[in-house]
Parts: sequence; C-alpha cells; structure tokens
Amino acid sequence: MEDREITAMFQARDEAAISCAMEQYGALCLTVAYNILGNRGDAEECVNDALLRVWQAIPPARPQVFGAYLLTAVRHAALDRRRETLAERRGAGQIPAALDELSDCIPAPDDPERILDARALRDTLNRFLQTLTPDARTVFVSRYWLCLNAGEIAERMLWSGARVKMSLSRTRKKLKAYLKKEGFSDERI
Amino acid sequence: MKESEYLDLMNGLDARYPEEAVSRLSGNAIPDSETAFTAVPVTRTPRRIFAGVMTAFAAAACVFAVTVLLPKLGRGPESVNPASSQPGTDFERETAVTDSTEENPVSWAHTMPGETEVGCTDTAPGDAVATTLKTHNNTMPNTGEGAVEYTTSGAVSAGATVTGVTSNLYTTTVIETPQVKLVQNKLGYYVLEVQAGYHASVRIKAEDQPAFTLNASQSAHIVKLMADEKLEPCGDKIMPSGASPDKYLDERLTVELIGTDICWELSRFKVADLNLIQVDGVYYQGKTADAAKQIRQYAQYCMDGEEFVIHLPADYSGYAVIFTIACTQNPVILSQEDTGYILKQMTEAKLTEIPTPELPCGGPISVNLGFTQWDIYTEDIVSIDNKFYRDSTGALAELERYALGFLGGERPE
Repeated sequence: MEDREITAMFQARDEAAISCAMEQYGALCLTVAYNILGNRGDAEECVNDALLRVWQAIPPARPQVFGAYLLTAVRHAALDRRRETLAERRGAGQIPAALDELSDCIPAPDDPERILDARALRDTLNRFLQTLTPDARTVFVSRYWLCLNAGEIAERMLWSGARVKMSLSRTRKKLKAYLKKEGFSDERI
Repeated sequence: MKESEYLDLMNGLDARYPEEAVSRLSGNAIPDSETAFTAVPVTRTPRRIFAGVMTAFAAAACVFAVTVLLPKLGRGPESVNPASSQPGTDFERETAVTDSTEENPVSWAHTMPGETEVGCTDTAPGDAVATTLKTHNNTMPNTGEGAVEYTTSGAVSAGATVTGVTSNLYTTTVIETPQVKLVQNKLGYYVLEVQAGYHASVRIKAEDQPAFTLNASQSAHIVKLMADEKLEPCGDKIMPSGASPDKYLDERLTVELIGTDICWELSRFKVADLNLIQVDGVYYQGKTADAAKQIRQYAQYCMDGEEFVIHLPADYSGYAVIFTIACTQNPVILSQEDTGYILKQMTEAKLTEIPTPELPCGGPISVNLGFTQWDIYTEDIVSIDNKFYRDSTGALAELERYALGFLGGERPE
C-alpha cells in the first residue's frame, strides 16, 4: 500500500489505517525503537504511542511521506522514553555505539564558544549529506538517525553487511575531511 | 560528544534526508510535491530535486541497472536496485526470447525478501510459462515453435528482486548493445550495466572442452578487453599465399556474452603468432596491444582453473578498494579474483636486486595491494620500497601485461 493511501485512510479516520501502517512500517518502527531503547517491551509501547500521536495528528496534518512521518514520531517517542529512563538504561540500544562511531569525526564541544558551533555544525552536516550519493546518504541516515545497525540496513538495502560497514566507514572519513575543510578541526570543535 | 549533543545534531537533520532514507528502505517513492513533511521545517527546493529523482526511479521501473563485479556484496548480476521496485507501481516489461531449449532455459522469477521465491522456469519450447506474484497473478503465453514471447505486467512488492531471462541470439558484432553496456563505476570497477530481463555473463568454450561460464568479475574483465579491441577486418590478406585462415587453424576459442547477441571466436593459427578474432565468419585483427591474446589468455586461465583467488575474512571484504592498478592517474580498482591473479604473479616472480637503472620515460605502472606497491618500469624491472629489482622468470612481464589490460593496453606516454 502506498503512503498516500495510508494517509488518506488516516484523513478519513478509518481505523484500518493503523493496521495498514503497521503492516507497511511496523517492523522498521519496532527496530528503530528497539535500537534506541534496547528493550523490546518499551519499544512496542513506543511504537503504539507513536501511532496514537500520528492518529491524533492526522488530520489536520497531511504528511506527504507517511513513512518518514511515522518513523519520526517513533523516534521521538523512543528518545523521550530513553531520556526518562536514561539513568537505569545507560548503555542500552544502538545509540552508544552510533555515538562512539561518530565521535571519532565529530569531537565533543566542551566550552561555551564551541557550543555556539553546534548550530553551524548541524548546517554543515546537512550540506555534507547533500554531497553524498543517495545510497551512501541512506546508509548514513539509517545508521545515525534511525539507529539501525549494519545488519538491519543491509537487509533492507539488499546489500551485504560488509558493504554497509564499508559505506559507513567511507562516509565517516569523508565527513571528517569535510568538517576539517569547513573549519571544524579538532582544535575548534 | 555527549549523547544529548549527538541527538540534537541528528534531530537537526534536514527532513528530506530521513524522508529519503525511510522511503528507500521501505521501497516507497518520495512524492513529487511541495506539501510539507510537517514534523520538521524543510528546505523546499532541494527536496523537490530529490523527489524528482525518486519519481524518475519509479517511472523507470521497467529498466533496472544491474551492477556486476561486486561479487562480495553477495549480489549477482541479476540483482535489481530495490528503489526501482515500488509497491503498487505497475511493473511492465516486454522481452522477446528466442531459442528456448532444454540447454538454454528461460527463467523468470520474483523474489520477495523473507519469502519463498516465486516464479517460473521454462525449460523447453511449448511449455506453459506461469508465474505467481504476491500481488498479481499472471500467465505468460508461450508461442511455441522454438520461441517464447511474452509480456507481463503487475504490481511488485517493495524490495522485490527480479531475476533472469536468458536468450541466445548471435548476429552482430557490437559490444555495446541496448541491453548491455560496459561502464566504469565511481569506484573504478568495470561493471556491466544490464537492462532488466537480460542476464549478462561471459561463457567461453574451447573445442573439445565443456563450456565454462565466468563469474561477474571475470565477465566484466573479458568484456572490457573486448571493448578495448579496435577491430578492422583483415580477411585472408595476412595469410600466406592468400590461403584461407581455416587451413591453418590450430585452436578456436568461443567467447560469448550470454543474454546478448555477442559471440567472438578467438582463433590461433599454426603458421604464425596470429591472434585473430572471427565474428560472423569475418576475420579481424586487433590494432591495439593484442587484446585478443589477452582475452584468450584470461579465458584459458579461467577454463583451466588457474586463477589464483585470495579469500579475505568477511570483515575485510570492503577493503578491495585498496587493490589498485594505476599509471599516475585514474587507478583501477580490482576484484578479488584479479587481485589474486596479480598476487600469484608477484609470488612467482623471482627478483634480484639491482642498482638504480636508467628508467624509461612515461613512469611506471603501479600495482598497489595495500601492503605493498610495485612500480613496474619495464617488463623485467620493478621498484619496491625504493629498491630496484630485475625479474628473469617472465612473471613480471605477465604481471605488466595483465596490468596493462586494465589500463587500456598501452603504457603511459
């Protein structure tokens, strides 16, 4: 079923929209939530919460890319849940691993001046993503935004896990070089 | 970087990137619309560009680019860009296939991720051809009389992979056909771009030997050599006393590109070291650095099973990128098979250190395997780590010829 059909069902307040959305995106939603939370029960709850949010938001919202809209809702729900339980759950899920990978090319700001760079860094990252091929960009966003692991990305991209890892490795190197070129050197960041 | 900073950074991604990623992962097209993805502010103009690109993918659902020569990615030449298979998108193709026989079956299959492969195989003319798709039932008529012609249309599920239709029809001498093109991808690999419905790999056959189908890497290498060859008909002018070449024929090797109309015969003659190519009964001789000989050599290596293949640990597979051949610019990245062959030649070369010799103009051809780089200056002189060596075994000459094959057959000026 296409996104626009699912959106139309939500617009029409057709409860079958929920099951259609789950059929189309349920597995991916659950994976993303699980990778953020590291707990299946919490992940399932987050997906349900996200579906409820989406149900409440549409209408009036009219998302053109329903999948991304739903995944964003799932991600936000999972991150909210993660913040609530961070003390007990520190280290769970894919976020620590993803953060660890990126830390090599995006070191941490640790003073006020550098915090001001955060916005510039975000803009620079967006510009950098524009330079990537669609495949490389999809893999990068899947890993660091959706928090999917290499195997999960590989399965959905119909790639091998090694190819995903290699793509991520190359992209991180490019990002590091790009940030350096843009003035985000280790000394600055 | 703290976790909160990381999350803030990722939360600040332009919405079109998550949209693109989710759409590609789920097999959905990004609609071409200005309507906002409402959760995050969007920069509209670039988003439209992406939307246009993705829509173009959907519109071109019947023409898939099939990438070859990346065997370790675990995808054969029949793999299809999943972004091209959209759920609910009408999937149409028309493929005329001839010569469906017991020996050359026609196959047609759709593989749904996580599901049992469904499809059909036609093993002989006149057999019924039927396929069952997840969302579409279809029967393809078989016209019989040695030919299968069908048109099918239907909806293909997200991520569907479409595999193979083979045909055998040898009539022309053109390397690049509408169905198969040899291109160099961004990584430097030579790949065969194959139109959906066609399967491209090279099959070689020597007289009195069984046919041997090459893998994707080998196939692309052969096709590259074929493409490098500049042909001009020579007929029997080069033969003694105007005699027919067939009279002196010593050995004949057939190289065909399955799924296309390309079939070359590489003929070797007793009277001289003549490496001729026969296409449709017309003899040609290569103008460039004996590509025909290289094709023959390479094919023979493959047939004899002499190819030296290195096996890398799974986690190391991505590092094939470090295996390159270069003449100062434009490095050619090698497959594992080709790397293995070069490694074999390196191993076989027995080197003797010599003082710095007088070096020829044009610079060396570099063979870089990551852990070692050989700069080949002549057929028997190589430099490794700033020391010069001479080889008297002929392995270096073979290595140079092999490397030249990747670089167009000629030394840099």
